[in-house]
Amino acid sequence: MWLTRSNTVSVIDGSTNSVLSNITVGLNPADLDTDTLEEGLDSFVFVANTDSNTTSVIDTRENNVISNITVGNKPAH
Amino acid sequence: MIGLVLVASLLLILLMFCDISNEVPYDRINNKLSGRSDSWFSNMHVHQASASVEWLNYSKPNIQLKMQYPSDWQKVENQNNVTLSLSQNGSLGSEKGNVSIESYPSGNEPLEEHVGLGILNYRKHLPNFVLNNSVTDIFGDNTTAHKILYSYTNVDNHEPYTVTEFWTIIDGKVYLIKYQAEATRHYSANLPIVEKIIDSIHIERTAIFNVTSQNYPSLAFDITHDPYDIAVNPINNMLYITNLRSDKVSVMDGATDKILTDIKVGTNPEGITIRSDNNMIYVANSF
Repeated sequence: MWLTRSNTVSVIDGSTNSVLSNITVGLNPADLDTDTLEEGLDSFVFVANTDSNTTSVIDTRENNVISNITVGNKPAH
Repeated sequence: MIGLVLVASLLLILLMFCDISNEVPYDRINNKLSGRSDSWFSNMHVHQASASVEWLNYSKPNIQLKMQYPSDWQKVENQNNVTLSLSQNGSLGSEKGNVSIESYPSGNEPLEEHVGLGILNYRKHLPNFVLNNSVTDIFGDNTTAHKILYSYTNVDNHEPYTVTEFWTIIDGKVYLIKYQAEATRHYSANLPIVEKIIDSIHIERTAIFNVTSQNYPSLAFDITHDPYDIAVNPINNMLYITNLRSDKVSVMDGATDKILTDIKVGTNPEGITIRSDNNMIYVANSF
């Protein structure tokens, strides 16, 4: 179980409904969220990696991880 | 000669017509039929009378519910639900069987999301939970619903229980109709009477919301794949649903509620989010 634990985020292109890429993040990414355009932030997706106690920040213009932030125990949402 | 034959046959037809109408008048046919059905029903009546059970009408206006239930069942009402239990010697035994109807606002979320969350919840909290069946069915007066059949072990008496649930959305409200009973002795035994109770259920529809309820005619995809999370692109009205157990994301057209395609992603996809600016969808492949 531990060895087969997944650590990716799939990116789907909504115009073709196909997987563009799989981005490696922390262990057991359970949930993710994005900033909204109204908030005027950059194009980030934040991923809660439950089993590595980190949050990965994906830059959606490049679709790569620009930072892994250490957070508390077992982030899930 | 031909004229004679014509006149004769005309007379014959007239005679036949009079004959039939005199011989078997309509009300006599009617009497014969009703006489026969009377005897059928009186036989059934004797059978019912021996059980000394009558059917009571029940209505709960705040959730638009009307139904009937046998007088030897006990009724417990709350704000948004009602439970009918088969009582014996005045005591309520949950293992003998109960039927409950509850309603809560759907919050504009599709039926499959409510059912999916329900199943996830049962999987988490009911010991030995097994989902046996998950289909589209009808109940009451032709109300389309999603029906699930499952079993679990009751924590109080350690008995195996079988449960049938009907889920539907009417006028922006989720309706959950549930029959549960101890699996080996009571579930099947009470099923005929429970089917009558569930078929008597009528949910009043408000005309103004009819279009809304028709938006959810039936489930378009397999609930056993554990739909987990949903993302909506408000620009093109597309919905993306992660299916925890099939490692796929379902793409649903919000205009028709039809699944357009399933996209294979990583293992156990949980969270999903969308960036509507560039139409990219991000899926967390969890464990």
